[in-house]
Order: sequence, then C-alpha cells, then structure tokens
Amino acid sequence: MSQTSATPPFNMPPFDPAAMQAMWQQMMGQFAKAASPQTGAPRSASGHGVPPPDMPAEMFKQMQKAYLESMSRWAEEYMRSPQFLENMKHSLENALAMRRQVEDFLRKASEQSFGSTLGVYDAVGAVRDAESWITRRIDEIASRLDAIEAKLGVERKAQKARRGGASGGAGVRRGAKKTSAKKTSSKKSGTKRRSPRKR
Amino acid sequence: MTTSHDTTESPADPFNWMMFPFNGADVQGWFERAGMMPRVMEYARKARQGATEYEIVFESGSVKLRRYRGSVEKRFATPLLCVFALVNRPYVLDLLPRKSVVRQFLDRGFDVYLIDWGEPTPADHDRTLHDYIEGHLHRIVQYLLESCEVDQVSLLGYCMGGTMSAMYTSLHQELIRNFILMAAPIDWSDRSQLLSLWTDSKYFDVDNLVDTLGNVPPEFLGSSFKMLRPVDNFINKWLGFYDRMLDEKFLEEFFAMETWSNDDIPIAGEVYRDFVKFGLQQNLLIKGQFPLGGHRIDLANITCPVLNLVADADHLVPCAQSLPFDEYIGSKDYEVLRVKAGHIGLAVGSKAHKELWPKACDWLASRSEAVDSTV
Repeated sequence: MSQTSATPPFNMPPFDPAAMQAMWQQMMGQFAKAASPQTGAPRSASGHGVPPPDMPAEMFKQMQKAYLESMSRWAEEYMRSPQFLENMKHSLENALAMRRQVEDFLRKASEQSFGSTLGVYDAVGAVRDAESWITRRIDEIASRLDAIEAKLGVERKAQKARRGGASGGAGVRRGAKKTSAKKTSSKKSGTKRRSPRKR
Repeated sequence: MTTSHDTTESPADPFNWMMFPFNGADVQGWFERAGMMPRVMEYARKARQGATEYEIVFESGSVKLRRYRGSVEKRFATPLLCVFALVNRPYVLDLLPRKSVVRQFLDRGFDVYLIDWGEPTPADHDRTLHDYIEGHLHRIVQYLLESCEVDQVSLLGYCMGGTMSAMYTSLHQELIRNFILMAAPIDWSDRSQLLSLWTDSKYFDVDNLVDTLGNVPPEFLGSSFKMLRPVDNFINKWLGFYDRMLDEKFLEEFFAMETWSNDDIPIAGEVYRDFVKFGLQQNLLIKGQFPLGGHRIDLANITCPVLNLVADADHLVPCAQSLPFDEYIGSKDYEVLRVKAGHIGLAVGSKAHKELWPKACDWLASRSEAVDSTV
C-alpha cells in the first residue's frame, strides 16, 4: 500500500480567495480611514500607542532587539530561581491533586448511579463464563435438533417409500444431512478457538 | 522622548511600543502585509506533513515502518533505519523537499526507512522503554534483515530516538553496521540546563504525574519545551514572521514548521517515567546501570562506527549531553560533526543541509555495503 505524505492537516470548507480578498480590502480601507491623521494615531490591539514615527527604522529595530534580549535574560534567570521552581512544583502538585479529586468524584458518582465498579474484572469474567456456557448449550441443542431432523428425515423417506413417492426428497435430505454434519462439526470446534496461522 | 501626537501614553514606557512590530513611520509596510493576509491563510491551509512519498511496509501494533521512495537507483545494500523520538511526529526528518534528511540519503542511493511510533492510547500507558526497544524496534530490525537480505542495518537516531537507538545497539551490536546520533542526550551530568533543573527530583515528582495522568499529555510536553525560550517562542517568532511574511518561500517553511511543532503526541506514561527517572534524574546510562527489561545497558558494547551530529546552539539537548558519547563506547571509528544550529535546525536548517548532511552521507556511504553489481 502506498500513500503520499502530503495531506492537509484539517478539513475546511472550500476556500474562496476572491471573496476573502474583497472582504479584507474593505476592512483595511475602513481601518485606514480610522487611522488617518485627522482621526488619531493608529493604536495597537492592546490600546497602547505605536512607536514614534520620526524614529529611524534601524534604530527602532536595535532598541527592540536589545529590549527583547534583556527580557529573555530576565525570564531565564527567573525560571532558574528557587522561587519559580518551588511555585512550579506546588502548582503541578495542586493540579494533579485536583485531577485526582475530580476523578474520585466522578467514580463515586458513577458507582452510586450504576453500581459498584470495583468488581468490573469479575463481571467481565462472569460474562465470558456465561458466554461459554451459552455457546456450549447452543451446540448441544443444535446437535439434538440435527438428530431429530435426521430421524424425521428417515421416517419421511419410509413414509414416501410406503406411498411410492419420488426420491428427490432423499437427495435434499442427504444434502441437508451433509450441511447439518458440517454445521455440527464447525459449532463443536468452538467460536473462540483461533488458528495460530491466522495471527 | 516625546512626540506631539502621543498625548495619552508615555513613550518612555517600553510596553507601549517596544513589542510593536514596526516603526510608526512604516504604515505602508503594514498595509502591504495586511493585504498579504489571504495569501498567508492559503499557505497555512496548504501546509504539508512531509514531502516524500512512502509506503508502509511493516506494522507492529500501532507502530508503522515507512519505506521512502527515491528517484535515484539504490546503490547501497545496507538499509538505513531512522528512529525518531516518541514525543513528536517523525516527519520533521522529511519536512520540505529542500529540507529533508530522508531525501539527502535517498538521493545518494540509500534505502531509507523511518519508524512512525504512532500515538499511544490510554490503554498503552503501561508500555515501557523495553516494549519499544526490545519489542517494536527489534521486530522492525529483524524484518529489515529478512526483507533486505542483509546481516546488518545502519541506524540513525534523533534526540530521544538516538538514546533509544544507543540502548538497542548496545544490546544487539551484531545487527548494527553503522550508527548515527543526532542531538541525542546521553550524559545528563551537566545540571545547568533549564530542562535538567526543572526535572530535578527536588522539584519534579514524575511518579505522581504518571500515576495520576497515565500517558503524559502532549500539551504538557509541548508547553514545557516552548517555555525554555519564552521570548523567542512567543514574541520573537511573530516579530520575525511580520518582517518576512512577504516572502512566499518563508511562508511555506514557516507553516510547515508550525504544523509539525504543534502536532504533539502523548507519550506512554511508563516510558516517560523510565526516561526521566533513570536518565534525566539519576543519569544511569553512562554509569552502565540503566535498567531495560532484565538488562543493564552498557554502552561499551557499542563497537560499530559511530557518527555524532551535534548542534552548537541546541538549548534542548546541549552539546555537553551528547558530545561525551565516545568516552563510554567501545568504537574505534568515531567522528563528530558540528553545525551552528538549534535542536530542530539540525534537521531542517539551511546551513545543516548545505554543510552537514552531505558529509554525513559521505561518511555513511564509505561504511555501507554496496549493492552487488553482478546481481
């Protein structure tokens, strides 16, 4: 079996680039109007101001880089501090404790609603034993049915012979016998046995 | 510094504008980028998971073995088996056509296979490292020996996959012809790294985590890795995106990388427990005491040729964790190749693909069995 590895990560409805483009341009037009010098300086999403427009771009980038590097160093130092490590430890412990409490609550609620789940493995075993017993019983009943049909088949043949009827039924019965015999043998082999070859 | 139009906020307050992606004068650039958004979204939708065609040739439970198809005729009989970590999807080794470790080897005539470990279900939480290494990996190697009609395979292990491959090679050296390590943690003696500090037994109870959660959730692992460099991952990445988003080649690479880095998978609880406890916390691997099933891993059993690929700017697996490998193995043929790149840059970085991987292919070619030309 072969498959390409190029697959989309998720399913989406058909994408209409032209409609998206038109909508986007309309939005940008409205934004440009709002951001014009007459209406005020453009604002960032947080509502804060933007960098001074008279600052050279290169200077702005350098200042920004230096600022972010110092922020990065500060973050690294803080994440190494005993205070952070202790907070991290307690935070994780509390989160796991809450998770266990929620699971215990749900388990108890389930037990009260649907009965104890402690014996779930015993219940599964009991169901499997019941299945085996029922299957054996069905096999026995099937064998008895076959025997009864076989007897009925012989009697009918004798009746037809006495009446001088056609032998077609015997052929069918023979066929039926064979089928029954096959059925019996397959049922006697059990439903759970698996041939090692099939694995 | 004050300006006439700034009436409500003090420009001296850095949070006002230091993280704004552009200078206030570059409004035109902003609108150019805004107009680019539909194209950006198209690239985000089209992002692929892998670049090269493959077929699944073997399955062991949920673990699948991929065989990659190359356009170059096979020149080497020794197959190359790539083993990635259990914490991410493996297609980072084949991210894009021009940034694919798999294609580097395919184009040189190697028969390349990659293990896809799959995603553990909640019922798999008690799978151990032994199940993965002596179970799945061993079955896969045996399949390759039989199907390729060879006596040995070459192994390439990346990150945690490298550590697992090292353990496997120490147990089954006779089956491994060559061994390539990529940014693989072996020696956790250096406790200065942030991840080592966070997983220290004083601050991190791995038993509590695994006993409560079973499999370790992908969100936990993913956010932990991102928090190692919060400013880079949450701010610098997006500022860089703003700067370069007009370049469509950049957009393709960016979204391929984003797709992979957010495609985290859970890790089986017992595997995580073994790795953290015996590796990161107790550092038993270099002491010859790492338990695996009924064995103790002894790296000195590794005697095959070894190539150690190390990224100099790797913050996840610092050089100090992988460079000392030669001190513990028995190999006489040992080489190190270094490149100035990060942990993932070793697999997808332009510099690595120009400088490092051709040399790695040369190294492997000189040590692999050629296809018999008379056959």
